[in-house]
Amino acid sequence: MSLSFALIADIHGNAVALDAVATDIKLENVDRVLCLGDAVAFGPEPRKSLEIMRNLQCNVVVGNTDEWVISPPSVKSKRGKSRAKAQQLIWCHEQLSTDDIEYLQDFKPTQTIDIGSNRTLVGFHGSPKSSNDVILSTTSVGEFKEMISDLHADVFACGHTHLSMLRRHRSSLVVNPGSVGLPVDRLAREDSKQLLLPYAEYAIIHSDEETFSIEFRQVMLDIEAILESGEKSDFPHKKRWMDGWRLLLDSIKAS
Amino acid sequence: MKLALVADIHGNFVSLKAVINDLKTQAIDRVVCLGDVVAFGPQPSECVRALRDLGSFNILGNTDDWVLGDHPFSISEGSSPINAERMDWCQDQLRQSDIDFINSFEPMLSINLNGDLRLLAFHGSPSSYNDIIFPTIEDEQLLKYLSDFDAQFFTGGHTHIRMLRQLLGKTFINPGSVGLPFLTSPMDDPWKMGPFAEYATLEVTKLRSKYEFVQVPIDVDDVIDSAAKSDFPYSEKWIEGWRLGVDAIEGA
Repeated sequence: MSLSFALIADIHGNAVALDAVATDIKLENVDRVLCLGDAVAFGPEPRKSLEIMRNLQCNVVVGNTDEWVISPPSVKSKRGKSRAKAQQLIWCHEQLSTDDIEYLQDFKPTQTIDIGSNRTLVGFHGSPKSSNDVILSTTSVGEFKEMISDLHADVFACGHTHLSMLRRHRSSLVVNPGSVGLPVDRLAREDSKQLLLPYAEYAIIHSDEETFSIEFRQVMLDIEAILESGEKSDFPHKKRWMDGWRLLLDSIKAS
Repeated sequence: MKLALVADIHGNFVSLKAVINDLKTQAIDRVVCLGDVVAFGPQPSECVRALRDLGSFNILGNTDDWVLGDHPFSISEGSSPINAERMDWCQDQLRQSDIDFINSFEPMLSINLNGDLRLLAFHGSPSSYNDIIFPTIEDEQLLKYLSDFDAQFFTGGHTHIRMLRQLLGKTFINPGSVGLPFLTSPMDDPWKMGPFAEYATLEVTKLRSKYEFVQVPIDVDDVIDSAAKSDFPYSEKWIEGWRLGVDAIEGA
């Protein structure tokens, strides 16, 4: 039997991007969608993002920022960036209904999914140990082993870094589908510029007795629609977010 | 346009056939072969002829170049004679028409995907078929290899290890290996091969890009049989690699 699974991660309240991905996923008749966490924080449309996720009937793992939204930090004695961040998390929490918060509280630290043909997928946000752990292409085999400990799976799927990745660990594959709502470029970010990518990223796993494949997809975004969703939202300190998308729009127009 | 990316076939015709059969189930416009077609496997000439029938774009790998001319291995210098004997044997298997075909392989190709999007295809790196780009390569080092080229997608083989990396708007894909899919590292001695053949596809349109890493199961007994029936030197060592790979997976 042939089964397929969509992996989405790091939506961060960007409902325009999630909607584009959901439309793409619906064309594929996937059997299940797994969301690898960071659904709502730091973007303009948290409620709408959760609504789309519910429509997709996702299995969800909890991201570090989902935990922050459930219990936002206090702004007391915080300054500068960390104060702005706390204010964004409090705003996000306030946007959500009790049902929404309960939905977030239901997110699991890891999800183990039978993907058919005797294959298993284990999904998590950062690592199986912590939603704050980072797994990159350059993470050493030793560090990776430490994070995975004695778990076995044919596919390990993670998010958190916003960087799409494929690597092998022994006979297992390690996949990060990239980010739906904040697809970033690591190097450009290290130059202190928040350079975003013009597409939403996600992945589809196809599994049958014959072939086994991991497909990465880049869905082009309507950046003007994203900016409009930001304009309409009253999420605090949105300038940085808006500037990132504007910079991208300008660079596309210039080329 | 949908491309299939195949690399590092290494004279394993059983695995190449499995990939070709799988490609028939997809609407592929063109196959791009990233080199290392014949050396170090039991059925070099069969692989060359199958590739010619595919009408693929072909990149020259380091071992293809060795087949065409001098290879760096010596039987007399006391080091392991395995590679030298296997290279000599491989050259003996090929007809002149096979050699001529390998001689037509390009060091690098720039392929127009859609609009102004381009794919740059090579064996090791754009600079050399000997360069090694492992999945763990540092961003800065990878960028050094890619930054001079005006392409959005890059693909290379050589390491036999699948990888995907994105940086500064560039996507690098290694589709893994058709004929020698190393489970851990090409530095392993003895080698350990997984019981599958690896390839990738790439499809780019204005609205979306897709790239898929595919793993096709192979019958390891058929692979072992193809070596046992061939007079390929040190076939027992090659066979051991397939057995160890199966053991490693079953023991996992």
